[in-house]
Amino acid sequence: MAEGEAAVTMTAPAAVSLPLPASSSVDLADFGEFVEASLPGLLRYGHALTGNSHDAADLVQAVLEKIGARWSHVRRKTGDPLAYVRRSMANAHISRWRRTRRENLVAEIPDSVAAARADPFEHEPLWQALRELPPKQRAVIVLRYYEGLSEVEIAATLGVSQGTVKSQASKAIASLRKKMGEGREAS
Amino acid sequence: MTAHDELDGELRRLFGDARLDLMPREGAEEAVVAGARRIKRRRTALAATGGALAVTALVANGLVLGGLRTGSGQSASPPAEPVLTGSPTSSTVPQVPAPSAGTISTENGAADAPSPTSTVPGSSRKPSSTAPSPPERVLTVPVLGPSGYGKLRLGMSYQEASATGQLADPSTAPTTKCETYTLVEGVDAISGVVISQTDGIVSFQGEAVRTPEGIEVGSSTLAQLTRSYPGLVKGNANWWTASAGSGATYSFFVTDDGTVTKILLDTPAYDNCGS
Repeated sequence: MAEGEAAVTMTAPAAVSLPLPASSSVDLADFGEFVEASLPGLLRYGHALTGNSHDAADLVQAVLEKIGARWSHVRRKTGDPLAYVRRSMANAHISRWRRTRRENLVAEIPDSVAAARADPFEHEPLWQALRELPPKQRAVIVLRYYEGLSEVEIAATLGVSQGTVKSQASKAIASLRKKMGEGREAS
Repeated sequence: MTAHDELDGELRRLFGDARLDLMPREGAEEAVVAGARRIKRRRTALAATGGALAVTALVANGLVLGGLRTGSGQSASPPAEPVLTGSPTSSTVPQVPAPSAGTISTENGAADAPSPTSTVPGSSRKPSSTAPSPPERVLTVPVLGPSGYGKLRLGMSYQEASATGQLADPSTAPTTKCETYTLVEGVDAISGVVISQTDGIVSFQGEAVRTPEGIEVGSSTLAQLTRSYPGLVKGNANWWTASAGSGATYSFFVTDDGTVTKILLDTPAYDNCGS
C-alpha cells in the first residue's frame, strides 16, 4: 500500500546522485540500526524538550540527519552516541528558539489539521507552565528531571558554567512555582 | 505555593508520563537515514560543483519524519490524525521496540527545511517596489520602517523608549532578559515591542503595518514580496526574511494562499532573548 509510495518519496529528492564510497553505506546501515533502536526514546525526549509533538519530530529529525551524515566520526569520537545525540538536541533546541517561537506565534492561525491534533497535556498546568519557560531554562529542567543529570553534567552538556545552570534552574523553578500557584488561586 | 519537594515530584511524574511517548511513523528510520545520506551527498556535491546544485538540493529536501510526506500520498496515516500516545508503559528512554503502525502527528512541518535558508528563485531580480495595493489603504496603515516604529527605534534602551510616551506600561523596566511591551495606541498595528535589558529594543511585532517598500499586512502577496525584496530568503515554515538595512531584518509570514499576514522587524540581538 502506502509503503511503495513512501519509499519513492524518500529517495526522490536525491536527484543529486553522486556515488558514495563503499564505507559510507556501511556507516549508514549501522546508523540505521541506531536510529531504529533510539527513535522512540529520542522522540519522547524531544517532546519533553520542546513541549509539542511537531517540534519534537522536527528537532529529532534535523539532529539525527546531521549526525548521521558524519556517523563514523561520531562513532569514533564519542563513547556514547546516544548521549551525544541527546546533548545535540538540547543545544539545537535552544538555538532554534527563535524560529520555533515564530511558529508558535502563528499557531492560532486556523488550520484544520492542527486543530484536529490534540495536545495530550492540554489540561496539565505544569506542562503549560513549562511551555512558557525560555528554552534554556526549560532545557535545564528537562536535563535535570527527565535525564536525571547533575548540575555539573548539565553544565557540560550545554557548554555553560555551573553557576549559569544554578541560576537558570532557580529562575525556572521560581517561575514554575509562581505559575502553579497562580493557577491554583484562579481555580 | 507548592513546596519544593512537591514541585520536584510533580516534574518527575510529568516527565515519566506515558503520554509523552510519540511513536515514529512507519518508515521514519528510513527517512532519517535517507536524510543523512542527502546531507552527505550535498556536502560532496558542494565540494564538487559549488553552490548552485546544493541550493537545489536544499529546496528539494523537506522534513520527512515530521510530515511524511504530504505530496506523495503517504497514506499510512491520515494527515489529521492526532498524536498517538503510544504504548502506555515506557517512561524510560531508548530501547522501546521497533516502531510499528504509529504515527507522529505533525503534518505541516513537511515544508520546513531543517536548516539553512535557501534563496528564492527570482531573488536576483531588480528591486522595483511596485506594490499595487490601493493607495488610500496604504496611507491609513502605519509604517514599520527599517529602524523602528513611530518614535520607537531599534536599540533604544528601556528608558529612552519609555520617554517617547509610546509604551503602554512605561512604569516597569524589564525584569527579565527580554520583555514584551504594548503601545498606548493599542495592539492593532504593533502587537508587541520586545526590549532587552542589554540591547534595548530588539523586535517589533507588526500586525497591521506596511514597510516603506509597500508591503502591507493583509493585502500584499508573496509575488509582491519577492519583487520588493530581491534578497528575500525563505525561512522556517511560512516565514520569509529580508534585510531591512541598518542591520535589522524583516520577517514576513505568508499564508499558504500567498498573503502576508504578519511583519516583524528584529535586530540580531533578538536571538539573545532565547538564551
